[in-house]
Amino acid sequence: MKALHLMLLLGLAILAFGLNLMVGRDGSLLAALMQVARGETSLGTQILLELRLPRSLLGALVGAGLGASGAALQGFFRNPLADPGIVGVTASSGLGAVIALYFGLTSLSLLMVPIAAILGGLVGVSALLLLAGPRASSTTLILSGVAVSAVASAGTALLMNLSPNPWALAEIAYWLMGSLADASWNEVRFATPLVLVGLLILALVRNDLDPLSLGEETARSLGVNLPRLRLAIVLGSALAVGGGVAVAGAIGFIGLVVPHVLRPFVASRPTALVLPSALAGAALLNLADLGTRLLSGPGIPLYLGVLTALLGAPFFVWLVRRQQGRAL
Amino acid sequence: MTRLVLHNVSARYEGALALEQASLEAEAGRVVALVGPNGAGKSTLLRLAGGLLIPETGSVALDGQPLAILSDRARARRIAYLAADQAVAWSLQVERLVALGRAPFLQPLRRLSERDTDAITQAMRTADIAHLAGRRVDTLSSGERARAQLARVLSARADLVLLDEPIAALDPRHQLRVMDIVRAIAKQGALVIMAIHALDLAVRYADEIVVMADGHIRASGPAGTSLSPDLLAEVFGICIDGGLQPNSARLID
Repeated sequence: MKALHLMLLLGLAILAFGLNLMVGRDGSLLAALMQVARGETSLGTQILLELRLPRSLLGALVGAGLGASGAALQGFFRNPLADPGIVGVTASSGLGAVIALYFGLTSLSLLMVPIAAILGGLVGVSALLLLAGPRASSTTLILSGVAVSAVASAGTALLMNLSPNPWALAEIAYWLMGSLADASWNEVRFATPLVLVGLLILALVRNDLDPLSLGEETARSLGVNLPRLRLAIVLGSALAVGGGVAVAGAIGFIGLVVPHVLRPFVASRPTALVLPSALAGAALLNLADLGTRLLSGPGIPLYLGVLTALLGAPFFVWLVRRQQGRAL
Repeated sequence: MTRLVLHNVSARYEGALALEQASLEAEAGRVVALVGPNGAGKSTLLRLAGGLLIPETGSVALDGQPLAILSDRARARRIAYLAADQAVAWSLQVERLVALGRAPFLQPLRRLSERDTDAITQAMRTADIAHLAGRRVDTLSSGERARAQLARVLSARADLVLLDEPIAALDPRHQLRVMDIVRAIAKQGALVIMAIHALDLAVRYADEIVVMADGHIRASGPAGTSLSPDLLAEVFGICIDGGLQPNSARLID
């Protein structure tokens, strides 16, 4: 990717961040921004600083984690269908969070849901590595990921099935739909280090993805330490995605669609896809969140995960059909 | 001076013995051809020589140093490997594919050095794919892709070059060209070990022929003598009227 493209994506991410920060159903918060600059406080500045700012920051962070993990996982599995969902990270993080909601752990601390989600994600990843073994081929890893994902989803469904009362059921269901509506500085403080460490790990090992496109054996002959790369990809994406799922719920399709759209711009190089996907993921998630805020009626919130899937799925089908018969 | 010694190496895949008690010595400037029927253990021997497979017994040493103690990168700088499976996962540009041969030499956060780009350009010219530099790998014919992969191997300028059936997908003219390249890099000081099915080309181009069957080295020696009619009958189940003759085709420019 040329530096110009990267700058454009960065600009886009900042623009989306700014739009999600400033624009709302009740008009823009530009006046509030001026008040903040003058050191005054009002209802507007409160909304800006305590609601919108953490929400937009979280949007950028979660989107970057999903985009970069999608690109890294696709490069690692040499498969354009791989995404954080397929290795089971999303589903097992979700199960962890649902367990916390089901047993009412939220009464202990509001951070119990994120903590449980991270633990769930790590358990899922460990189960994946255990199932697939240290020298698993990509196919084995994908199959194991599908299995982990299925078990986690079944566990989630079981807990919803056994749900003691409609409120708990509703809480779980809403959480699973994914949303940034509850974002506060607490969530930002919790998710930022996790996602950033995940992104850093992925950024550090991305150079190994290009040699890997020639197959695992040839990659090893080119000096790639395959077990280390595998561990880094799994840990990095568990942190980058798990940290996001923990605070925003399950948000699909970003990790799948973003690398897909950007691939032609980097001449299909998996190494060159990771950082642009982080930027584009950040931009896309903030735009999608802006969309949910503008479309939601009073008292009828539209959920972010629902919107990304509703828009993402048809777009993805269109992309796949357009590229049929052409290698990716 | 590069010197590779495999001493009594054995290897198995999922319990099945693929290579048993094989020993081989070779040094820089030589072309060693591994011949034998499918499943004879040629690819296994190449993987062991490249440090991509850990032998169950025995040892592999490069210049007296066990391969196992080299780091992945250090090993990759000295040994270039062309796998029999030449698939490329993404629609990479040919030039990018060739540049991957320089991966073991890249410093983090640095671009390709002049030395790297020289090696890449020269490798593409040598493998006759300079005109394909901008093409996508998936738009190439299988022979063109094989040459692009060969260029990738050449760009590493390695001391030890391991080629697993480099000419299997090529037309007769490019088979000769690749064998000429193999001879040329040996002359420049590399040790080349290649698995090959074309016996007449092996006899013509290799310094030494290693005949393998059922995971054993059955014979090895100078090209002229190691493939006797008896061995051809026993190992390959074929007989050649008048004996095995070196390939005599020539390139017309």
